[in-house]
Amino acid sequence: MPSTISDQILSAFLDNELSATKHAEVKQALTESEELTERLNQLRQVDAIARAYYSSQDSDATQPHNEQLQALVALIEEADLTPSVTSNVVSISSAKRSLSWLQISSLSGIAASVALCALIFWPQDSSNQGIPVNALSAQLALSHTGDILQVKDGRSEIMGSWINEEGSFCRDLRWHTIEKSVPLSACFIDGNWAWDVKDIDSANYQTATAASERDYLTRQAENTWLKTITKP
Amino acid sequence: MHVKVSMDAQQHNFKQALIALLPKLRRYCFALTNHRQDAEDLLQAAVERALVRWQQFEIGTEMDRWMYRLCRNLWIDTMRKNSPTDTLTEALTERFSDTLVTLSAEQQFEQATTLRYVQDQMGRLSEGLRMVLYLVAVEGRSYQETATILDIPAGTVMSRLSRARQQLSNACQDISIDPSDALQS
Repeated sequence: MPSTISDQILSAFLDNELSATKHAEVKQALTESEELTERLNQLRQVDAIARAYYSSQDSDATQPHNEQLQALVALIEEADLTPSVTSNVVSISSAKRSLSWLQISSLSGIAASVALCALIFWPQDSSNQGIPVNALSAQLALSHTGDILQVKDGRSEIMGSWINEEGSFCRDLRWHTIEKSVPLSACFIDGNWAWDVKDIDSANYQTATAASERDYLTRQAENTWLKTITKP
Repeated sequence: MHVKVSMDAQQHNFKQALIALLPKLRRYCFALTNHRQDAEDLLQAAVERALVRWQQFEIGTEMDRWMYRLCRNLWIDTMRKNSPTDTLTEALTERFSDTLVTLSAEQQFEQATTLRYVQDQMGRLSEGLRMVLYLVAVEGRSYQETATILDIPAGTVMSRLSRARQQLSNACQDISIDPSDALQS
């Protein structure tokens, strides 16, 4: 019966994402109901609108005089990707560009990375500024970079994995709530996660992406470490 | 010597692949931000970060997915909270206005009205709905691919997509014009 075909099923029908049986069922229903066919066309029309809307971006991107895109091409072509002996930061030529949020965040990121040299690791403690480190510890042992975990009113996202000077497996993540976004780090030491939670109320606190300057492990290396630390 | 040559080749290939991907990345950034200047800033930030982390890209994997993730992380971590809420962009309006020249006055009015309306409705979609609609309806990704890129279950892709289409479809029925015809003049 057409009335049992929901918009969600029709939508999946449009995308050819239904099982063969369900697909045939919808197809049959469409032949029997003009109303359903009309609704399908309405949903299909939305896709056409979306494609038209975003295609304007493609048109702009191919214009030869698009200065911003040309500047990016130059930036890529001129970048020296050879890793420096003293720094993980790749040398990027000073291509003409506007002062944007990016530059501000990059500068503060470098400043914060200096501050990170004096990090002190707290033991695992669920009282750290309301951050559920116990729940996040479980995420650290099981999840990959880029994975997101929803915990109560917040969201934790793993930013990358790295090895500290002592050879311990460490991970950076961010704890997002409506009020704040807090960068965190934890290192796996003697079977437990030792957390670094920056004092976000301090005047010295910066939201900079200090961790972004680190030389993160590849996904393959991260996998190897995750298997190692979760080995019984 | 061989190692050096190999490294140079890798760098060259990475750069060329990244350049080739720029138009697609730009569109993705626009879909993510729904704001022209934010998209440009995000694209630039993502490219710079990619150049710093190029060795983390695994050869043989899809660079667009790697860059999409990088863009999304940057957007979430750095820019989203400061994003302006307005959705109308002058540049986009200008882009569409070029096509108005050959249309009748009535058609011009209809298309301009439709454009403003579509822009407004796209902006009203939540980021989650908009990204699913973009990846499936515009890029032609499967539900599973979309789920992987956005780190959400495939079932969520299906429900979000349906909600996005419903919301836009209902909105288009509120006005008595055919948005797809008007936009695709």
